[in-house]
Amino acid sequence: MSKVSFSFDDRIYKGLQGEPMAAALLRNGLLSITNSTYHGRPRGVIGLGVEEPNALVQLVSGTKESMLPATVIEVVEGLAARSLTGVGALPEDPDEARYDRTNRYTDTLVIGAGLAGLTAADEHLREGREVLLIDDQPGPGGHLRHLGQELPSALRDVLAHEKLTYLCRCTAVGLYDQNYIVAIERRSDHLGNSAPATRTRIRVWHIRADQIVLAPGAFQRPLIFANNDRPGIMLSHAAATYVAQHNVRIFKRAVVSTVDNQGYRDALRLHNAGVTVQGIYDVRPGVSGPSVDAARAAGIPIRFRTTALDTASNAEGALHSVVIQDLDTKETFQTAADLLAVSGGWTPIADLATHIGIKPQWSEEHAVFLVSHATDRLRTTGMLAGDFGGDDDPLTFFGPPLDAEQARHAYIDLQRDTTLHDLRRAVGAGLHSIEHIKRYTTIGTAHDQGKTSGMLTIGALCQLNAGAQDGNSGLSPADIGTLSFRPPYVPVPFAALAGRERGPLSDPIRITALHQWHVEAGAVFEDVGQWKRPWYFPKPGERIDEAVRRECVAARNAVAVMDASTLGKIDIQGPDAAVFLDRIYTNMFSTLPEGQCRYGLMCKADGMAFDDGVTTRLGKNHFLMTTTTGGAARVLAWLEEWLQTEWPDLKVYCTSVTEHISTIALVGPKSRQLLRELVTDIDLSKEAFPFMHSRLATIDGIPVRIARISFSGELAFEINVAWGHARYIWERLWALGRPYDLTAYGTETMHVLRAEKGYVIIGQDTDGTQTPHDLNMSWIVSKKKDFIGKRSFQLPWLKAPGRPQLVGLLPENGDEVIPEGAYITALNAGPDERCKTPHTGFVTSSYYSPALGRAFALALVNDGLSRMGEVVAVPIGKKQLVATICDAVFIDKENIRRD
Amino acid sequence: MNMERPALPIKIYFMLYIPCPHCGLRNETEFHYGAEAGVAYPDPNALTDTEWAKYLHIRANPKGWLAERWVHFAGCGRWFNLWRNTVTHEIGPAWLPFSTKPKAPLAPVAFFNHRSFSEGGSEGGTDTNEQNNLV
Repeated sequence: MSKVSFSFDDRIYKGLQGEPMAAALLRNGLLSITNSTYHGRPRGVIGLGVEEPNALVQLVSGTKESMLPATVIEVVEGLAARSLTGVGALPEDPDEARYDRTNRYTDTLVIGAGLAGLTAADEHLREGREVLLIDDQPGPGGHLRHLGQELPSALRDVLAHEKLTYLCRCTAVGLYDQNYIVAIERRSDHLGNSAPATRTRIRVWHIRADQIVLAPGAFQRPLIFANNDRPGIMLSHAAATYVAQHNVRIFKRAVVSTVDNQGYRDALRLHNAGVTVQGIYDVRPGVSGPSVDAARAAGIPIRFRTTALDTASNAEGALHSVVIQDLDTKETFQTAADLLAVSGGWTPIADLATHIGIKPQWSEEHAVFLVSHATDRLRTTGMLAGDFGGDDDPLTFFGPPLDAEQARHAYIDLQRDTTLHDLRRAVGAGLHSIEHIKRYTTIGTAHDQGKTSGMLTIGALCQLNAGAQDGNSGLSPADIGTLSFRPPYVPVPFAALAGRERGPLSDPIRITALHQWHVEAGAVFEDVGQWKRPWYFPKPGERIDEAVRRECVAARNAVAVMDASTLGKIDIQGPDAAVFLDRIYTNMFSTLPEGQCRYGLMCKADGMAFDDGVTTRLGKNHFLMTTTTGGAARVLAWLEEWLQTEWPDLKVYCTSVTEHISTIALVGPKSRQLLRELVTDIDLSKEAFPFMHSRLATIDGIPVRIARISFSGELAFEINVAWGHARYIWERLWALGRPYDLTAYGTETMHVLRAEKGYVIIGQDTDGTQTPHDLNMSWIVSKKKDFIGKRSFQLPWLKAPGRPQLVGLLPENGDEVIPEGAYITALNAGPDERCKTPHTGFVTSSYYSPALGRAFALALVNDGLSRMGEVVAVPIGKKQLVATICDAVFIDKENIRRD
Repeated sequence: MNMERPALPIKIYFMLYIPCPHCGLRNETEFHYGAEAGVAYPDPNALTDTEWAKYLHIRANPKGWLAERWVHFAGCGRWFNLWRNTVTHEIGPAWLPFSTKPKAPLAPVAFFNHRSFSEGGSEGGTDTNEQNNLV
């Protein structure tokens, strides 16, 4: 490994390429890394991996990701980081790194490439299965890597097998239904500046596995004693690994406090690396085993029935000495040490198993919660399943009895600075469920999700309950159960989850065949669903209100043109098409003659209006239905649901043709004149081509279907043509339209024009709680036939008085456009005894009308249809606008203009 | 102090693998949910207001196996019915509308891996179609 430079808190240090930053910091003497969030106490590294609660840093290089444990960051040239006290900071600049996502189906997924995982992979490969092996470390081997031991050659061969895919630096973060796993693979941080620009930083794997083997291993946990958080107090396996594997030479004199034989193995590693191990203090009464014998043989003093009770620090706050207590005699003594290696027991990593609802089981023999699970789909193995390799006999022990003062600094959750004192308070307050205690004390709610503190809490609760004097509990962890863990197992950057779907790729955009023309014409666009629709076409320097006024005037006095291609279009064919439409729409469609159009409204079974549009009968068994732009997919789904699940006997075939047909709406008193210049093969006169009729024609040889449909109330012709021909037709219109001062108009003008005519827009003037009667559209409700929703009109609450009804509203001040959504109250209504002012309706659509020369609105007002002429108030902030309820049709009530 | 742990419902995070009868096993994100299966559109004129309101708004919501509807909107666009355990999210057999409804599973049905539909075989030598009563 090559030497590199990195910076921490703005000082340059030397490290080795690829080693954990925590190791490099320790080797450089940084025992104390940060101060704790809430208590401000100095803290240092305690662990080896993602369980690390203290040494969180803020990257200053690369993507500047925050709150990463220094134990997982790999040192690389140019790495720069800063210590954090508690909360990190988000970078100011956007994250420019590349992230992506991949899906993978596999026969077997093995999570964990330690001994157990590699063995399982080997078994599955021998059965001929394809295996995906993932592990969060930079290399395989699990604990063997920490011990610096080689893999057995048989398992090395596993990694080279052609049916094995091995992903390192890949953390499984969530386990979901039916063997679905999400894993994040970190691909470039360890390469630093030499990472190719095109290399993805994090790849999110979505994996569906036929079988899963969980071999995640276990974390060591600490013990609870007074002042157990000082820099220099570490998990014993981590301490031994930093000293023996990573050449950390800052410790001279170590004390080991242990509940199991693991402490002995770690003491030996420390001893063999040259650290003076002052003593192994074992809480058990006596024990045997190869590691114990080896420790004795090395001359390391061993005392039983003892444990760490308290610690003292030097001037910098780092460990200076340890107080040991004999649990039987209660005697204590103090011994100098700069390293206290604590082996509090192994906690198998049960997180993923709990994601899928498996409950870990307490094993008294191993003093752990195990997940010993084996179905034909998911199996656990290794330490998670209780295989600790023999040579161990741990005691269920979490710390010595502590008085109130000692408990104040006996830490359980180092990230939350939560102590035994806090836990006792929670229990004293009457809480006993571990889930309640977690929330009351915040233990386990930091980003480590309680990896080291969860088991300690359970253990401490047992001991509290017993009120025992000797640390042995009368209650078992089995009685309490584990905390539940939630995905993600480790924090995942949002940018990784977004992957490539950022900026222009975050949502698809739908554009019409005329889009480029609109862009070049200077249109300002609005989003209607995923469609980009021209909102208005400002001339240079025009504001929106000026442009809209100009467009409205052109449409009502000359001729204007709009791109209506986004409206949903559904081709409906079949011998039962007419019958089907009669059931779906509130009005009759079987009586519609061929070649004619009819406006239809459809309701849900509960009687509420949910979409509308003009449907044209193209043939005896052939209709073209239009829907609102936003409702197209919804309506098609509705039609299909009824056909497939209720009326399979109806022979009807529905096809979405929204993108097959472009629609150009030519609107205004001069529209016929202009169109005559373009369409010469059919008679466009009023007599030959009546309102709401459809005709086939050609324009320069291109087949078109023209319909006299009017959403504006003006004389209008909708030209329907195959999608790709739209631009040609449009350009021809523009070329011919110059003498007519042809004007392009957008959705805002379209809204104003239809509102002046009192035409509702489903979704604008309705919210799914209006029946056709509420919308003053009783005329469209057929008395002759049954249809979906009709039955509901008889429900008492849909006939009751007081329902909001669609009416018009004229503000007293014609220059003031009432904001849409504004509430309507009775005139001079004040707050009632509950300090509320009852409202009597609200404004749904509101515009300035050039034709009326004043502002106007549509509104849903309680019993509005019976309150014509009533003057009401519209409170806006501290002002009270005044308006009059009126008919919703403001212009051309007789409908002369459209013909 | 009562340390008895209450029976909490199992919490599972969702990405169901749903067996569309036409397209095979697909992630649940390709489907829309349609609530209880078998609720036929009644004769509107034969029901009282209360019965009609019940048809509109009330659907079965059992703790355990539920026969429900799904539509594969991102695939074939077809509706079908499925047994699903609302507590454990085990997936049972699927059947097409108007075909014979299979019995509710008593034990979890082995779900089939991604190979079953493409290669025509399945794990363990069982016949996919037979076991699932797929029409």
